[in-house]
Amino acid sequence: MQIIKPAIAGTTESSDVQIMVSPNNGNGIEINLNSIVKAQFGDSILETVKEVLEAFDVKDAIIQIQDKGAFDWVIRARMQAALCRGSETPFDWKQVE
Amino acid sequence: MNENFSFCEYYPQLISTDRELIKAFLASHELGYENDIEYACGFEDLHGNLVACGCCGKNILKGFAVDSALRGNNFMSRMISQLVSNRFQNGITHLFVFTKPENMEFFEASGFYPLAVTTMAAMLENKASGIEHYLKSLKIEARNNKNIGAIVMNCNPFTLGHRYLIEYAAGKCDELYIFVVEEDRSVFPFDVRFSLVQKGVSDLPNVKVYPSGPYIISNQTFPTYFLKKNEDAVSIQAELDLTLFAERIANPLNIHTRFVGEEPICAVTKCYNQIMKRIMPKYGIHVEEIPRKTGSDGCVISASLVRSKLAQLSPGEWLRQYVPEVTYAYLCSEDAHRIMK
Repeated sequence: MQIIKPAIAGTTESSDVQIMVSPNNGNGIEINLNSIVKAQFGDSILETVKEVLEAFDVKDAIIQIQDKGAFDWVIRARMQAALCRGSETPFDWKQVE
Repeated sequence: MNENFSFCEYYPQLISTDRELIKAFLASHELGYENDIEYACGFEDLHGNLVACGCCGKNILKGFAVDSALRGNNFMSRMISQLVSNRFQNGITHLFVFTKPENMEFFEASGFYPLAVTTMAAMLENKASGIEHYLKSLKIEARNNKNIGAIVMNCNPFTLGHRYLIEYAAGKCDELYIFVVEEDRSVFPFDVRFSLVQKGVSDLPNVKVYPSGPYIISNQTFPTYFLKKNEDAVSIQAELDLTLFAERIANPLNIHTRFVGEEPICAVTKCYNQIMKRIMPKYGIHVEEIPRKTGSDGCVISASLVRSKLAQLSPGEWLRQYVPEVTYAYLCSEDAHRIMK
């Protein structure tokens, strides 16, 4: 999947996460994580984000994460939505678990 | 969120009651209203009174106020989120905020990153290391031991005055970088201004022309709504712009000297140059002010002079005393004719 335009999903309200993806043609993945629980769950958030990137086969993207203590499945859903918007791919509810 | 407050959206350019509501609320917080506000959101209490609002226009979020008794309800975060979503829906994704330094934390908690901070104002953008990506996109090779100079110019349009300043500066340093202001609030569009400069200096081997990106803060973009009446908007804007240039552009690129044309007429530009001489040396950058070139009629050649003459006269031979061949050819073209109309 190719990220062709900046896109955003989520909010910065408590228990949510706002994820912004932007194109990074040929320059790989760059992840910028801000989280109120970074010390406790930073690694786990990054793991989730990388998993979604792999599942969608995204090779080049800048990912900015503004986390307000979202659950793992919220992070996953916001990532999926942001990637679909940024690549102008309609979201396939059947394909994604 | 508190049940006593409802989240509301406003369209001040379309609905006059929305405009009056926002205007009055901002005024009650001693903030000015700006006419380019396209969209606003906020919270109303059970009686329909506005208690918090945030606004945006083009790529700038502004006009934030929250009633002091209600701070701590996380209204800011909800409003910033909503404004960012609204801008993305309108296809505007690189966003900026100007605010007082003490309010920066609200924006930093909502995905904004500081670009420049002075005692009076701060500027943030929603891209992490956006300016580093911009510098990388210029593809400038690192040159540590060379004497590098820079000029920031609007070139609206490129004149013999610009050419004179560039030639003089190019003679004083090993490499000269020209940053052409990218923001399109000028008569001539950026691509035209940029290509005229590029063609107009192509004979000077040590001069490189670059787009400024969104990182030059002009007095047209700088919102003044958050300043109190007695504060001097011109000098606050100049300080912020020059700090951004020195700290985030000139220092990483090893620029040693910033050249600027002397300003004999315009008070705003004069003040800007004055502040430049105060701020640049703090970052180890030398400022050199160069006397302006005068035309055969004895007047200082400036782009504004050319524009005001063009408003009265059709392009012709008279232009040659003010502009180089490339600009002359362009101004006589069909393309220019259409733009000036």
